[in-house]
Amino acid sequence: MKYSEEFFKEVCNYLGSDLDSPPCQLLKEHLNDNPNCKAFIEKIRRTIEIIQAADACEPVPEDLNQKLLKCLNLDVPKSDLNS
Amino acid sequence: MNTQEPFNEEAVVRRAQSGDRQALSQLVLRFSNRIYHLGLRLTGSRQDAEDIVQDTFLLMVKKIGQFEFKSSFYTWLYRIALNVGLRRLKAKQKTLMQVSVEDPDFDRISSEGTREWPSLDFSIVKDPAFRQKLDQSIAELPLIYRTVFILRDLHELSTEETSNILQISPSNVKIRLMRARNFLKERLEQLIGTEIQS
Repeated sequence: MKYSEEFFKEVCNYLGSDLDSPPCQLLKEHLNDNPNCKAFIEKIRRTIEIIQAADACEPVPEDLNQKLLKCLNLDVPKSDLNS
Repeated sequence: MNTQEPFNEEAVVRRAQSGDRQALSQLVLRFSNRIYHLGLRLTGSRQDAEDIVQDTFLLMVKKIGQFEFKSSFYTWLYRIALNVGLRRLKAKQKTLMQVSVEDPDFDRISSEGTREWPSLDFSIVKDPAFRQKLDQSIAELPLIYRTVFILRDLHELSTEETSNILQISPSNVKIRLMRARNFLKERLEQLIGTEIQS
């Protein structure tokens, strides 16, 4: 199937939107009969997931909050002391 | 305060505005990790990220009285953090690599075929060498695209929130995000290819 350039401009717009948003989902349904476009969108989705996963692996320095509160001359909140 | 109480952001911010230092501490602890990750992705440096966290919260304490509840508190805080980070990058005058960030090549996608990626074990992100290469790819993304990608895809802010923080139109947010995602997809495609061959 050959899509028009205008159609792909719309795809561009949606690719900048939430991939789970209703317009994007609708678009995906239309693209389902084109395996190349489908693979492209899936790669974009997996790119985001992989980078999110990599970000989650990045540890925050253990003493970050301690140093921060000291610098701001603040105390640990009582609620945190109790936990 | 009961530890089981849900965090009531507006109430805590109002208490902080009236000079309650416990409330200020609560806000710091609630948002410090997120601001650290924002700074880290923005600068690629752990030390810079720590400095950005510190400067952001110093400004938060100083300016919290000016917050008028016209946006969510974290949107306001992210704007401060982003400005702090961008100023830091500018001050360092890092030589940025010139890279091409373009729209997806739709002719190629629709006519030449797009190979499926091999199944990729997500544990690959725990491999420091892979992460370093991934970090490098993200760092090469020009700032105007990187900031949008960080806010929208890593911190999961909405298009509207991102538009407010960066003071650009929602359409511009979408276009920059699309280009950023496409750029990173292509870099990741190269990385995955390298991983499979090695």
